[in-house]
Amino acid sequence: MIEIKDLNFHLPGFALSDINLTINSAEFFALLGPTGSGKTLLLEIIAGIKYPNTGSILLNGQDVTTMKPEQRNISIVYQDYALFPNMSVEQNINYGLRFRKKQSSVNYKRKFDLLVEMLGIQKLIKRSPQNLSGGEKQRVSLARALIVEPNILLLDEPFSALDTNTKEVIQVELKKLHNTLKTTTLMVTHNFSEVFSLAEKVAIIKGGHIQQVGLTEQVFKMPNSTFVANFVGMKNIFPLSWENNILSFGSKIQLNKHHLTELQLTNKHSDGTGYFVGLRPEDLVIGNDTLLTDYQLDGKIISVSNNGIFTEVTIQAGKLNFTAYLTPNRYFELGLHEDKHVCLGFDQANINLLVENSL
Amino acid sequence: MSKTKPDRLYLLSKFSGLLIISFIMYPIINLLLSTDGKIMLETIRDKDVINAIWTSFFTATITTLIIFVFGVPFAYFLARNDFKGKKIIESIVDIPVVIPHTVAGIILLTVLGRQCWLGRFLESTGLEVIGTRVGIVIAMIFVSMPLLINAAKDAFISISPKLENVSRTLGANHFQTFFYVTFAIGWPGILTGMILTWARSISEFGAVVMITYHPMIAPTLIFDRFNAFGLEYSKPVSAILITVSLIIFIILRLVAQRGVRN
Repeated sequence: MIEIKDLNFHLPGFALSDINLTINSAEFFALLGPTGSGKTLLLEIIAGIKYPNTGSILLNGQDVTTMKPEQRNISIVYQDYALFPNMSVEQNINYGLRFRKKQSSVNYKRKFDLLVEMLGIQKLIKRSPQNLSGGEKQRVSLARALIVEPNILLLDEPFSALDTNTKEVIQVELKKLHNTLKTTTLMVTHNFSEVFSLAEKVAIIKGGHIQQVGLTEQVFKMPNSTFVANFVGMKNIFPLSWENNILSFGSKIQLNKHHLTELQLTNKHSDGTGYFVGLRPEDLVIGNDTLLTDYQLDGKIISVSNNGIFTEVTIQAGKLNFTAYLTPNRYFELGLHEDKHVCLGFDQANINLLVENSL
Repeated sequence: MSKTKPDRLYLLSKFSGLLIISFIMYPIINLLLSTDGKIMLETIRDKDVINAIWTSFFTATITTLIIFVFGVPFAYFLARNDFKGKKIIESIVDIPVVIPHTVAGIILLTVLGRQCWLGRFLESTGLEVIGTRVGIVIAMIFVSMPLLINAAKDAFISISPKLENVSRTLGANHFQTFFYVTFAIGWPGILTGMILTWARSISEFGAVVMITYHPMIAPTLIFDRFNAFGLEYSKPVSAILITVSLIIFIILRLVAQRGVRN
C-alpha cells in the first residue's frame, strides 16, 4: 500500500499542491490528467527520482520520502520504454537482479521464464532492443520492471507510443499480468479509455491539484466538476439557472425539484450560476417519434461523424447543441442524416450536476 | 529514358568537399613522396628521432588518460545539471581552443616558473615542470582538454536521463548506474573524444615549446631540424610522424566505430 500525504513540490512556474492519495495493495490505480498537469512529476517523486518540498510518502507503512530510488523497490516503465541499448533483451530484463541477493537464482529463473512466457517474448531474448517493435519494447520493459517483484509498479503513459491494435493487445496482457502477479500499480495517462479498461480506481489531476478520486466507474458516471466531466468524455455540459424556484438549462428543460437538495446551493450560487448539467453522449436517446424517456426535446441533426465503432451525432435543440453516440446499425435503422428533425431524450438518472472548475 | 538535371546545390557541395580533401591530402602525399629515400632511412635509424617520436606518443597518451580521469566526471556533471553560471563554466572550458597555443605556453610558464608561488611550490616538492616531460604533459592537457570534455558531455547529453532513472529504480546506486548504463552507452562518443585529444596532443607544438624544449617531442625536433639543416632534413621526420600518427589514428577510429556498431 502506498500513501501520499500532503505532498507539495515546487518548480519555477508549476507546483504539485496538497496531494493526498492512497493506493491499496494489489490495486490498479490510474492518475489521469492532461499534458502538463504534473502526472509524471508525481510518478518520479514516488519513485524517488525527485524529492518533495513537504509532505510524506509511506510505502507499506514505512516512510520512504527521503529514501533513494534504489532503496524503495519501486519499478517504473516509461512511455518510450527506456531500454538499455547496450544490452540484449535478456540482459535488460535481468538488469535489476544483479543488485538483489535476497532470492536464489532458481527463483529468479522461474520468474524470468514466467514473465517471458506471459508476455510472449521468448524468441526475442537474444535480440538487441534497437531491433524490436514498439509493442515488443513495451513487453520487455514490463518484464524488466516486474522481475524484481516491486512494491509498486509505476507506468508512465505506457500506451501513448503504440498503435491502436498493439495498444489493445498490451492492455489485455497488462490486465492478465496484474491479475496474476497482483502487483500494486499506478498508471499515469491522459486517456480515459485506458483507465476504464484497466484501473479500479482513478484520480484526476489538473494543474498540480487532484480534482477527484474514486472508483473508475463512479468518476466516469459522476464527475464532480466541469473539468472532470470534460475529461471523462461527458460531452454535453450546459450551465444551469434557477429562477422562481425552478432549475432549468437551455431555457426549456426544467429539472425536478429533488435535485435542489442534491445541489445544496449556497447563497452565493442561489441563482444556479457556477453549476452545470452534464449528460454522457451514450446516455442520450434519439428517435423519429415520441420517446419513453423522462425528458424529451425536438431537434435537428447538424453534423454526423463515424469512427467505425460508433456514430457521433450532433443535434441542435433550441439554443443547445447535444452530442450523442449511436451504433452504426442504430444510425442506419433510424435513417438519420444531416438536417433531419429528430426527437432527443434522456432520463433523470443520467443527469449529472457539476460545479464549475475554477482551477 | 528521361535524364534528370543534376542538382546544382549537390554539385556545389561535392566540389567543396573535393577542394577540402585535396587541400588536406595533397601536401601530405606530396611530403611523403618527395622525401629523399636515403635521408629517410638515415632518419629512421636516428636515435634522436626515435626518442622524440616516443616522447610525443608517451606524453600524448598520459595526457589523454589524465584528461579522461578528470574530464569525464566533469563532463557528466555538466551534462546532467543546469545551474546559474553554467554557460560561463562551459566558456571557460573552451578558452584553450580560442587562445593561440604559444600564448597558452606563456600563460603556463608564468604560473609554473619561479616567479609564481605555484612554480616555487612545485619546485619545493621536488616536482620539476619546466624542461621535463611533466611540463610537456601539462601543456598538452591545457590545449587538448576541451576536446574530450566536450565530446564526453555531448555523449552524456544524448543519453536520456530516463535510462538512469530506470536503472536506479531497479536497484543500482548512482555509481553503478553511471558505469553500467551512462558510461557504457556513452563510451563510443568518449572514445572518439579520447582519440581527438590524443591526436591534438601529438600535434601540439606552440604551448609545449614554451615550457619544454628538451626533451624534444616530434614537432619540436622537426622545428629544430628545419632551423638547423633546412627543409630536406625536417621532411623525413615529418613524414615518419605523419605515417605513424595516421596508422594509430586509423586503428583507433576503427576501434571506436566497432564500439558504436556494437
